[in-house]
Amino acid sequence: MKKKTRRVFIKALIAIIAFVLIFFIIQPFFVPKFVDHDAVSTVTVNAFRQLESNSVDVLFFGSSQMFCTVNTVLLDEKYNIDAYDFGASRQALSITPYYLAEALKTQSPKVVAVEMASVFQTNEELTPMEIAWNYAPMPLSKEKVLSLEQILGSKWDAYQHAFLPLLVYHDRWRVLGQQSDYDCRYDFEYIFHPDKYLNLYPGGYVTVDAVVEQSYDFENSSVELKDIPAESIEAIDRIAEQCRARNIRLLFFKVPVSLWTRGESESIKRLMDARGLDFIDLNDVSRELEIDENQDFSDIRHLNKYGARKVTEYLARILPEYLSGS
Amino acid sequence: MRITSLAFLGFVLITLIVYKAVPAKKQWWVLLAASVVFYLSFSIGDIFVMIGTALLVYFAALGVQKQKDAYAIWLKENKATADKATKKETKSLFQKKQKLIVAGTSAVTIGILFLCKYYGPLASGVNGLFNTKLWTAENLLLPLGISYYSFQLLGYLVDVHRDIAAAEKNPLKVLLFGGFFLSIMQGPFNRWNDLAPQLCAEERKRLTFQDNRSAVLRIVGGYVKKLCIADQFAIISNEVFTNYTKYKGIGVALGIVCFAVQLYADFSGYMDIIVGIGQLFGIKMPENFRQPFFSRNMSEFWQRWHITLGLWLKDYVFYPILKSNLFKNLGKAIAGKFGKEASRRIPTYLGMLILWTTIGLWHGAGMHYVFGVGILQFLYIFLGEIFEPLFVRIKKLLRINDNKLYWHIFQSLRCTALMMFAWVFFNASSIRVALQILKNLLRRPLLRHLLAVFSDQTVDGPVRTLIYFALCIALLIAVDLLHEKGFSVREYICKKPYPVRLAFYLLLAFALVIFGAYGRQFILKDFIYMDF
Repeated sequence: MKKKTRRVFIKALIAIIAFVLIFFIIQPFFVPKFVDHDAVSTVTVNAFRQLESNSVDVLFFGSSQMFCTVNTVLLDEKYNIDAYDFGASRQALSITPYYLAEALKTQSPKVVAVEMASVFQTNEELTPMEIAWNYAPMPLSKEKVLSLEQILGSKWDAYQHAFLPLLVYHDRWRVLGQQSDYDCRYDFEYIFHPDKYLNLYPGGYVTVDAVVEQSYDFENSSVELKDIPAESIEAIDRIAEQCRARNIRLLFFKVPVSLWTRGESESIKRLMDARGLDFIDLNDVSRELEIDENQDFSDIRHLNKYGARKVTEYLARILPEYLSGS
Repeated sequence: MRITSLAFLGFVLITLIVYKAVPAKKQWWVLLAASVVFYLSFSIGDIFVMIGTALLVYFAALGVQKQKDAYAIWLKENKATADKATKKETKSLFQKKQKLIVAGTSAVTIGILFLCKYYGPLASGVNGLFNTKLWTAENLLLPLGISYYSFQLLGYLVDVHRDIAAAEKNPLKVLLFGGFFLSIMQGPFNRWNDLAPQLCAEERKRLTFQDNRSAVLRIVGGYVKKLCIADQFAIISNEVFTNYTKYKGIGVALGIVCFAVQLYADFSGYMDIIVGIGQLFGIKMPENFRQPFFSRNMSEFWQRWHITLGLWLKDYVFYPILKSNLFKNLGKAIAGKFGKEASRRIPTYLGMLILWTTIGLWHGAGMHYVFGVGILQFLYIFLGEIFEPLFVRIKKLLRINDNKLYWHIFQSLRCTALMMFAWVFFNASSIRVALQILKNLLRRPLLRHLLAVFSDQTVDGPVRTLIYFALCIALLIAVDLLHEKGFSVREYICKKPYPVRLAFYLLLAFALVIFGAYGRQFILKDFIYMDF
């Protein structure tokens, strides 16, 4: 190699190394850290990672319908059940096996309970915002890449999300350092020090105070069956497989919300029956739970803290059976 | 293959490696193959339209050349015997045949362009107006770069006819000239004598490292202009122009300013990328911009903005019109009635009106194009010239010195404002929409309307975005100002020691990474002029 060419080559190499170094130094500052009115995914994930190993008996998975409903503090204080809500907003069921795999790296729960609100959501329907909510706070791992690949359908996209999130989310400069403005485009806010908020949502449970009257009439809702996407069915099988392999009792459940029909419920029941899996639709027992449409909801998709308490009390009654059976 | 995609960069890199690896004599084959691959990456069917046009022009040019040669032979054989009148008559006969070939080829080429680009909207308009059921050519797609290669190839034919260029014997070289991948999408408009010898050169100057550095810097700078400026401003301008009923006063003004910056950064950014890549191949592409926002009047603006389009239309449309018998006769008729000055001015203005209408039409079939970048531009220049004596008197009265900086700034701002007004028509979907936007502009110019643009679906962080926009505008002005003073930032950086250059490269690279409008969060936008 000529001397001049060698010099150019070395200079180019230095430039590339400098770029890569700076890129990975600044990247963490620009990766979205999700905060909205009700939940802090980054905080929830970080807090979960800080839990003592093997300290949780019951792990709950799912979307906001799960973590706004299952009051883990109540489970702990009143029923002495160590539980954690390990979910993320709008979590598609196809993402849950990945969350479960990550959780099982540090925890050995006796029971895994999966909320089924997102069972009808397809990977295609996932928006960039939802992908950010679910993946950005999670640590880099092989499972993360594989899950992203499954969700996004492309290896390159998966690698970008997993290793180079700055190339995916680089809108942060507009709000860098701001922590108060929630009215933002992708509905996630950026925070510098998410660890400061580690104790914001103990046990991953998000308390929602808002009371918004709903027209809740599950009994008279549509009975039309709905197709469950193939990716959700595959996710159910994978979750069941993961639990079976670790001898963990598995429970699928659905919390009461006004945006839910008997047809949807029946579609899941048929699928679960065929697979011999446990599924409880708490909408079926809404009378027993004394769900009050004027008091217990915060919107069409979520229960508030009053509704959450009623559901948690019910879960607390059935969980011992699962805990003892494991 | 988007120019802003990694695939395009990879494509350029591979082409460059192969290009440098083969002997200079064979390099044009590499360029031809690359051009075909590039074109096929957009559309497979459309390439036949381009090949067809190139072949038609190729044979027409050979036909014209044949007539020229035949006349030269006849002249050689009959020089001694033929009298002057016979020579003139024979020359005229051969020229008529040439003109017939040129006119026929132009008619077919323009006809294809008309069918693909203008017929559909025209037929839809007629159907809407007269309730007819004309075929609206909905199955016809607009072939990529048709407005560019059609004009460029016709320019070559006219050059052969005018004895400016010799007819090319190899049809593939004509095809390469028409479909060269660096100018097929949105220009610049190349002339045969400038581009073809470079494309098909048998020997090439070896590029220095400095040349390559400068080229790479220009390419990266072009991407920064496109992704960090144009596409960021586009978020606001698209919002205002799309949901025009929602915004008023200063919010609309913001949208209009954003579009002006977007258009300039988009088009000049594209030019920087293309010219820079051309430089790496040892091909000098013509410049399309020369600090347009420092123009003192509209004529000057158009000598600095989309330069190659203006020059092409002047040479191949405007001057031929003025030199045509029709216009000569018109001049004579006017001279008899209104005097010599009028006989000079009126045909010129008429020619200008045709020129500007053509420029407007070239942009698209909509009346908003014809008005915004056509007739309105003509009116600006026409009225400017008509009222020039009055302006001179007013300036004298106010003791304004043309050479003072404040006056230059005023003139430049006036030009910019006039162009922004015109671009409202250019960017709106119709004249009616443009008028509504302008009407809204005058309504309640309150600050809260500015912030309203940022709510809902646009961008978050309005204050930072506005600061960012201000910095971008300041940067564009500063760089243009330096260029206007004859100082090249690029050359300056290229001559600096490696650590300084490295810092500058990294600055540009991270500007792209952080501020670039790419990835899933943004809707990727093509270059604006690709649509034309």
